[in-house]
Amino acid sequence: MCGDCLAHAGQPAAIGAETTGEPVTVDAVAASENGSGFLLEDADPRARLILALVFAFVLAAVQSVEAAVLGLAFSILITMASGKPLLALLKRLAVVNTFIIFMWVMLPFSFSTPGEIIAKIGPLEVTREGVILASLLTLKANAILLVVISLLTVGPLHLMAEASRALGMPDKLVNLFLLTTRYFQVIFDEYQRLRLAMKARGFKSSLSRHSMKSLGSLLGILLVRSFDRADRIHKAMLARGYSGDLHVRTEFEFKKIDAIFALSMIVVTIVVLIAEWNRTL
Amino acid sequence: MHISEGVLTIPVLAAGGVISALGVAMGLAKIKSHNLPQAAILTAAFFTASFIHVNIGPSSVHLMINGLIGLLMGWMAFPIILVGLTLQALLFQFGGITVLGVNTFNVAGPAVLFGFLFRKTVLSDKLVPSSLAAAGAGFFSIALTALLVGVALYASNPANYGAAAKTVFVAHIPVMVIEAIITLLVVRFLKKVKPEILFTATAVRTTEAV
Repeated sequence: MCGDCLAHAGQPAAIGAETTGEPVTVDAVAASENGSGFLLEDADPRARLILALVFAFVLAAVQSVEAAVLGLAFSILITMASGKPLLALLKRLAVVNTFIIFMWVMLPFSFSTPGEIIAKIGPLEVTREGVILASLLTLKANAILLVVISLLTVGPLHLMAEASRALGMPDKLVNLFLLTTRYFQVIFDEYQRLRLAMKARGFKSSLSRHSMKSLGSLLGILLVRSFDRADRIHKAMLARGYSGDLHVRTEFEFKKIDAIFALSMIVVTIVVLIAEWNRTL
Repeated sequence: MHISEGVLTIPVLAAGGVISALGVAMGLAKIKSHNLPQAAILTAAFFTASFIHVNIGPSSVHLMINGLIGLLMGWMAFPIILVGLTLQALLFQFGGITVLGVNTFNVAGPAVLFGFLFRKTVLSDKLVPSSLAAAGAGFFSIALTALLVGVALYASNPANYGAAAKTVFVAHIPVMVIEAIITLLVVRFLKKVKPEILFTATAVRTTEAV
């Protein structure tokens, strides 16, 4: 559902920062939201990645509201420990929750298994079960989002990529990811320049023939320039002896504090699992 | 277009993950490691394209151009789209980490399929068939993506997600038309300005290491 993409509209401005002239990097985007003095940033990225994934999938599997509430509570605690400004994050979650809002619009009215009708809006019947299911989805989605934000987006993004490599992600995929984040700022700058030129000429995005043609050309020229740039960079890198290896190996260290972090995450995950089993058994 | 966290069941998430992993492996096999910087620049370009919005009345949609990615890149669409969706999930929380597999397949699968089906006609010299094929790749890629989103929802909860699944598909009909037009325009633009991009599919596949 593209509803959740609508919020995109605000994003390029955040990245673009046309007026500030500051370098645009993916890390800058992530860092701009970090509060000060987080505790979790220093935790071993491998531990953060794997434990966040396990917890996220456990939350995804949860089918009871009780376990989901518990999961969300833990997620909020983890978020507080990460030092991310909670209030700003909650505002952001509200924007991102458009898919969930869509499910709220659909589910309470379209529950097909016989449900207890708790309200009527015109011809539409609101079922208790539909409301419960929609609530469950909302709790789960936000719990997972908070865990991902607070464990995976603290600290530089490339550390997460290196952590995934250490955990067995294929070299090529990790390098593709790293190089993409590297070149994204270049291409996005190019895109912003093109957009600025269009804006200066009074361009407004609409469904008109002219607008579509302009967008087609914008995308076309962006691709042409990217292909040309790709070619130049490739030749330049080959000339410097590039063979496909990035030679950026990060050594990770699993410290005592990481063990404490890992242990608490495991306990939290197990508690949610127990809550789920108690409810479903 | 991205399904958010928390909506799908574990079997659906797992199935999406496994199929996407196979697709990504196919795509990575097509990239020689010395060509990675080129692949990365194109990934960045396609990711940037997703920032382009088309206003429809009071609302707006962003481009996905998965049809175009499929036409130009073939199997490489899988790693390209996976990296794009990962960045979206981590930076903007669109989609999500647990649904990466499903979302990657939903977007990249149709891209690869219609890329292969329409590529030959798109490359032909005849203007009308070539334009129609380009528009078709754009249109059907989004259509199948929307259908797969619906299928993923339906498979997660057949009794209760049916209405949501149908609504997703219907809501995407305007997007299909827009993507068809944009894909057609970009292909015609590339044919005029730099046809070798279309014909070599990508420098990534053809440039040899010296």
